[in-house]
Amino acid sequence: MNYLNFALRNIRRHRKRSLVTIFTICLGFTALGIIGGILNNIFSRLKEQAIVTEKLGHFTIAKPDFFEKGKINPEEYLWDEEELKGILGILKESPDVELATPRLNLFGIASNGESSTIFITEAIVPEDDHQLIKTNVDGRTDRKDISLELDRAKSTNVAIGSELSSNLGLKKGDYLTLLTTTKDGIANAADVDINEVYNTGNPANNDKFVLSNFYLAQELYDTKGAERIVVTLKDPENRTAVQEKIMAKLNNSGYKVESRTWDQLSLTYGKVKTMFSVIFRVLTIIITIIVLLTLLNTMQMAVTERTREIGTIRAIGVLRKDIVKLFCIEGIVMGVIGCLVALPILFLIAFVLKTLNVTFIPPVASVEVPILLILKPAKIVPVFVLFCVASLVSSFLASRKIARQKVVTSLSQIN
Amino acid sequence: MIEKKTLLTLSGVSKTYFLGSQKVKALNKVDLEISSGDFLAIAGPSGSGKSTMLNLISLIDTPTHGEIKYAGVNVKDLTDNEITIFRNQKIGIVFQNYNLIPVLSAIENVAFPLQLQKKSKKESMKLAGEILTEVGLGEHLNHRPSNLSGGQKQRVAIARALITDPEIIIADEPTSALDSKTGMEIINLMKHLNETKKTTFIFSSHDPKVIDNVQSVITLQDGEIISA
Repeated sequence: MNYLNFALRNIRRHRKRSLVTIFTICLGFTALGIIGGILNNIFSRLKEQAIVTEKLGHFTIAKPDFFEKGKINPEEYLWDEEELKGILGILKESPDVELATPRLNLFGIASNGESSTIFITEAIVPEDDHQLIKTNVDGRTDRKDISLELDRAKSTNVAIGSELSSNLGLKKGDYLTLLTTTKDGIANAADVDINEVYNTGNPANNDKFVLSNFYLAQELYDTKGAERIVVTLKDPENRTAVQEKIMAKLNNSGYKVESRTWDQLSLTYGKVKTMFSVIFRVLTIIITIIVLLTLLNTMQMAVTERTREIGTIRAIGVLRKDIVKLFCIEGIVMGVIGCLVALPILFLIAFVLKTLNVTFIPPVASVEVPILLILKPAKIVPVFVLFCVASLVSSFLASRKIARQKVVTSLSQIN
Repeated sequence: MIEKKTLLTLSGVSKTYFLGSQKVKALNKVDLEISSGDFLAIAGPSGSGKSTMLNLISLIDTPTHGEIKYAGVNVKDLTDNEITIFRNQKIGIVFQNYNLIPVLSAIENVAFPLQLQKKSKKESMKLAGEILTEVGLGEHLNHRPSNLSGGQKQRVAIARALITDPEIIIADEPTSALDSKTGMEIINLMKHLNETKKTTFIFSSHDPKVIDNVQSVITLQDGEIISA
């Protein structure tokens, strides 16, 4: 007996009702696809912000406990010149490493001569940073090159956050005085040239951020070493394995180090992702329940209308389990059709959004990014499966009672 | 004279229903023996227990008391799945309102019971076509039930009951939804099949014209056999 053919004919038989059900499934799938696609885009942009704009690379290496206690007693976690050279040498030899660049982080008071405010600076090696900016994040490499002059002689050039710039009334080309301490706690200061004013992309630090030259920071801090090394990889998909391999190699070479990935270090990525993932899950549950109830209603109506027919085919020789099977196939077919119809709609919406180039400011970011639907099989396939399961469950629930009913009772049903 | 084999026995069969809180005794300690090749009509007024008796013989209902045996096998000992398979293989049922499956064509309706026996579609359809031709519907094989007349639908229903070559065909008021001429055609068709294929037929009717044309008649009244 070809139950699929039988199920398809029964779906066609109640065309309007089936279409409404399929439309509901399609709508639910499209809604989740859109939300999931936009979230994928937000996550991808936040990832890009963390890796490139926050300059965290794929992972960061430091001395053990630096990430927990480094801010209290930073000089204790500094590598000296020799250590830094040794570690960088090992990293740069690794075929998996794209970039390994030293970093220093300083903070203090920034002044325009009349007023002052706190600043934090990430000290970067300009030539490395130009390379970091071109890091491939989810297929994107083309982005605005906000960095510092490559010329070592111009190590007093800095780029500052746009809010810091407006708070101190400074613009590109102005001077700024940075007051900080050396590693031994002695006050030290430098006059720097503002080479660039830019939005850091992170509202939490846009009013205090100074991107400074690593060699200037070394002078200010009175060190030849660094506190961290940021690493980017040629194949970030394989990050966990490569990271473990590199860490093992460094530790075996006598360098006691530990590492943190960009998502562990980013102030916002993890929290935002968790929050949106929870929202997405709640929406998925709500929409799945709506789909399940719609299908349950449809199947319940079909079962009620076809009670005599069910009695007839039971009398002819169809087993109880096959009655349930028949309705389950009908439910799954409607579920699959609804999802399949939704797929081209999703791709069309994705195409339209890409063409229109509509932008928005993602949460905890301060720069506009395009609204795009990033449709990943990893998000679509589970929703597809979930809807099929919901279709199956609703059909099962609707048909199991009628399948158990006595044949004579089903046959005596008056429609 | 060929000695007939006992096909079915009903021993002390009773059936009680509840209509709300009211207890209705539809059949009361009925004993009956049906032999293979019988062409038997069950007569009686409405509410006499004809349909209940046929439902029990069709194994689509179970007795409150008593035993039903098919070729010595007590139906009580069979599971629901075994009874369903038994119905498919040994019993053909013709319903008062035809009960054809609306989404299937005439030939597909007839082939349906055979396909449940895992017969190939080709084989089932071929046999269904032959039987439909035999009952005079060779021209209507691919018509949906909605495009057939009452008499044609009942012929399809008979063909569906016949296709598995069952030991017994049970028909509950097969002519009640038909005009008297078509009704007689259906009875004559059943008679013809009984004589040519030796298929056992049991059917109910309250139409005197139909009953007058049948030799073996059981009359029921208030759930009891009053004449056989």
